[in-house]
Amino acid sequence: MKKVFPLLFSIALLSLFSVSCDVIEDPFKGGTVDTTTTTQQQRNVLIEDFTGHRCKNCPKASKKIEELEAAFGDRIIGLAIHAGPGNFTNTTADYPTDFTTADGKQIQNFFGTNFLPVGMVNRENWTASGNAHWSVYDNWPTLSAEAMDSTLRIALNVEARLEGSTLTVTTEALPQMQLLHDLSYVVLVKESGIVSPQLLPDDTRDPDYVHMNVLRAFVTDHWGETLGTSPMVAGDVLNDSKTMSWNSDWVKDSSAVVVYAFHPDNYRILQVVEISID
Amino acid sequence: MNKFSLSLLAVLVGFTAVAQSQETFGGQLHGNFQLDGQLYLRDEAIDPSGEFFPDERFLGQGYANFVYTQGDFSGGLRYENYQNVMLGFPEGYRGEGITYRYLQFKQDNLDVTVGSFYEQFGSGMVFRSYEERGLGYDNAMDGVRVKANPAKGLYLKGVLGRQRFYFEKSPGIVRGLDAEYNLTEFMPKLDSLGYRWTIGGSFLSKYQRGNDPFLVLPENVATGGIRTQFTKGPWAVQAEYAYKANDPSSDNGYIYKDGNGIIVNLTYSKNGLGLIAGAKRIDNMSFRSDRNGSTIDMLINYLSPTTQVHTYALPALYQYATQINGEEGIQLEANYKIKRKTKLGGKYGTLISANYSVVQSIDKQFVDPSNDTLRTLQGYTSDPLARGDIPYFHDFNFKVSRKVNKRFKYTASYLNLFYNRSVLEDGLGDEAIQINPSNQKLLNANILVFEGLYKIKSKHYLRGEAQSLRTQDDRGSMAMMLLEYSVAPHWFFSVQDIYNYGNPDADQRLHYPLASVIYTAGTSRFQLSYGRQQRGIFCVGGVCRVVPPSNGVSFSLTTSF
Repeated sequence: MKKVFPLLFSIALLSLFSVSCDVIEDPFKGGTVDTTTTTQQQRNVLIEDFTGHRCKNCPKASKKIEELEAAFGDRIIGLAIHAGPGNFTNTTADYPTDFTTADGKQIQNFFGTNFLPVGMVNRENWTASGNAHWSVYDNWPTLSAEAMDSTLRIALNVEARLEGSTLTVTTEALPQMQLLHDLSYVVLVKESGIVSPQLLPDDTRDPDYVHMNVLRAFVTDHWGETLGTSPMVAGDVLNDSKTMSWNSDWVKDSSAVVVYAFHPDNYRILQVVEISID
Repeated sequence: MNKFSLSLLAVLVGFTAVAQSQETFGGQLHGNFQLDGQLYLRDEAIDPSGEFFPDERFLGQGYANFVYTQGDFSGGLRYENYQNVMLGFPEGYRGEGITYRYLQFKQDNLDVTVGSFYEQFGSGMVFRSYEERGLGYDNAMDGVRVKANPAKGLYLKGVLGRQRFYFEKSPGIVRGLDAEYNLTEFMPKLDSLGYRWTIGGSFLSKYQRGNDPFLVLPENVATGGIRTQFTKGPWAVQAEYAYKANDPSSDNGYIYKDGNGIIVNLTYSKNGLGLIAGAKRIDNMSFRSDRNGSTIDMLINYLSPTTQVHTYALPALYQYATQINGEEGIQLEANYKIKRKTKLGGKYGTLISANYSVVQSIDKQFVDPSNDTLRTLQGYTSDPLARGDIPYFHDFNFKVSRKVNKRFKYTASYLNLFYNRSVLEDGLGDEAIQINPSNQKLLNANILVFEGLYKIKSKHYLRGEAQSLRTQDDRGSMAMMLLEYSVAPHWFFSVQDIYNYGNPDADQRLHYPLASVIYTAGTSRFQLSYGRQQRGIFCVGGVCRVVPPSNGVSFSLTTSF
């Protein structure tokens, strides 16, 4: 045994040496972004970005969403939810705009975190006692790529129209396979292009920062409403329509409606779409 | 004795009745248990809007360890519960469950563990898996560990597994080997000449799948280290060097630069004189089993600080935390025990000690961002012989401890601290500071501490502390008084108050009182406290976690068997 063990150890060490390090000479993937167009809907990605205007690292997360949107177009849908510790999100004389919403705060409380920036990508991997559903912004490209590669289970066709002060959102959902669970969905309004101060990573204040994808309000309840009941099969058509009063402070041309369908038991988002408002 | 004391006693007697090692199936079963809870009270002075006041009002958490041993076999488990996690602990702890379980046996010079385990190679620069419950830190491995002693003086370790990530597992796999050779055991002549000499080496690799749409990520990342320890008489020297291959991560901004670190310590101890000199330089040595990990999550290695850890309350407000992306520093310490029955030493002798530590950035010349590939591959260049120009921290402290007579002894301390809040609290990177150095938030403070212990009579002790922190920076000056009265072996009473009299915001010139009573019976201990906790921010690697202010009644129950 005494002679055999060093030999086995040496073999283990050599085998570990031989497989255990990848040295990268060229860090960038070239031409891997899929720019082909298809009329068939694919699974999109909702990145819920929990953020705050006094959180200095939060602009890095917004920038990551911009990079993904530039690469994958409308398959990436960002949603900035201003919620979290008050010293990151509360208003002050230097940061006067209140971006928080009661709905956003409840979502943040339920999913259970107290640091910023942090996010969820399609709310994958939620468990009541775990935290695998949370991810930092550096992980969003990987998680988004994996979500976009996965099978589409339900397609969504959405129209949004503003007539007078009433916003009407009609949703058509088309199961792509048999679904043996109920289906809920959420309709919300977000707004981009809002100029207001933001703390930056170098600890300076940018008074003209442009805030993107800011959650404004939920048209449905923020925990969603029933869209379909189990079982559903490919070929079924589910329809629903919702209305809400438009807030005149919101700029229509900078706003969009986001609709997502999800599994009501584990909150996993099966499909999400973003449309402009007619 | 009032009804409350009787009830408390009844509870503790109940616990101590079972607080004995149990003989089960021929082996020994032992363990320990802790339960903490706090009833939070609304306090508008420290939390005006109530944003930190928990909806639950009461938060509680605890754990219990059970270990069974029989001969060369042992096994154990730990149950943990967080309903819900108390304020100030990492929010990742949600829920309850068995988080640690293992079986271990020793046979034929082999020590095999399957399941959960903690382990360390050398000083930890390559690998350290450990637990620090007070911080909520636990990166236990789940897998297999084999230790062997195949030849005289040769000690081998192999580990394979995944690290704990709260109630989940890290996505990366960790596999490593360590060998340590005690040359003194191998060459008895060294021993006879009074030398002790060991050499060691480690190699470890992590695997994590890479599916980034933009970057080619190294899925296998290796690190290795060599070390030695040499002692002769009162002298001892320890040195360790570690190298890490390209490891783009959230910590280093996804650059592909390799990392390295070196630690050297020299000590001397003889005739009441102790000297310590240490130096450390680390460059890009953050190493996690999830490249996207942050704060205290899934760290594979441990980069020990070269600064003194303070336990007094006011100095502890500004503790140094190792900067895993790069730092260099030195520490010098001298202790001398002045002999008793001398003019200076007094009747019982006097201990004096002085400590100086300083830490700063390493030299970093950042690559121009316009050179995209080189910027990502290299990030920056660093000359190991050049000094970094961003001061992070320094601490000079001087302490005198003296026993005056049979009843009274005291310790008096002076500390001068410099603390770069932008780096250590806000996680501001070196490049941002180089571009705009005037934007740093710095703190200079002078601290005085006097501690006295007075024996009133047999088993009755009175201990007091007076602390003063003087600064114009951050929250301003503070003063603290503490008084403890203990009646051995059961009762302990404590009252303290921190007064932030120098806060630049007049509304925040608050008192932070805390009162505690502790009752100990055998191996069980019950603590009941009421008081206020100051608000703070805990940041690592640019991601911040709020340690919120709180006010309330807390309790803690610990017992073991």
